Amino acid sequence: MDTDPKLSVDEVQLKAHASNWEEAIQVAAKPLVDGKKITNDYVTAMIDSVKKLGPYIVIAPGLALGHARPSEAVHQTGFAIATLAEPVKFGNKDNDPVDLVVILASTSDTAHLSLLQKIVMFLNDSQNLETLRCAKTREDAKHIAEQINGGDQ
Amino acid sequence: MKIIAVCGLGVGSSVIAKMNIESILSEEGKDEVDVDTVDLGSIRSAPADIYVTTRELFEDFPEEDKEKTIVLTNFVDKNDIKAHLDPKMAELENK
Repeated sequence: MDTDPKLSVDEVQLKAHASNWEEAIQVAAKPLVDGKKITNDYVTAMIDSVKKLGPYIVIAPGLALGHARPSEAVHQTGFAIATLAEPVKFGNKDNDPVDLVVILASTSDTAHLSLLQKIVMFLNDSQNLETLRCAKTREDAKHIAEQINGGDQ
Repeated sequence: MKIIAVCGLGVGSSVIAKMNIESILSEEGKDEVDVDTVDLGSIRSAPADIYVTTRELFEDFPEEDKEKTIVLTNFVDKNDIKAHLDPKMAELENK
């Protein structure tokens, strides 16, 4: 049974390095793998999903939402966010290059909804996107995680 | 009226679109509009008045549903979604 999922400071990586889109997903998802929330199979599934369905996961300018279907590869519902020091191309005509990767992993079709709602509210505000893209330090990451977990406060 | 957001898996981007569309409809006082999500493979068994999707997936849409479909390039910008959604809804309401 999941407790209400939260974003931890370790799951927010700022100015991470990746040389291509596959690496960007791997790097962004690493805290979830390290935290045993997901296995490497889930990372592979996220990459395979882009190969199969195309780069539609780039859902806004510069923003990719890495995800796959809920599966046994997800032990605990979680999210991770990474900004990239050097943007990478996913092959999306409208929204490349990507400098912001959000990873979503859910144990079920519904377990991620409350945290996703909070992240969506955060991303709705262009000011927040600007703050996130300019953020550099662990202190910045902490503020961002707190702001997202706090919802609209 | 029924709106369905379509994505590759039906758990990520379409859910984000659904959340934003519901929030827009709520601001417009149109809470009676039903918003749902579906993966592209299940679209034929999910009839709707309006479909919402991305450019990549639109190309794979069933031909007969394309006319009902709004193509979004930005799933998190509510102003952009609203600019696409409102005219489409007005078009349907005036039919």
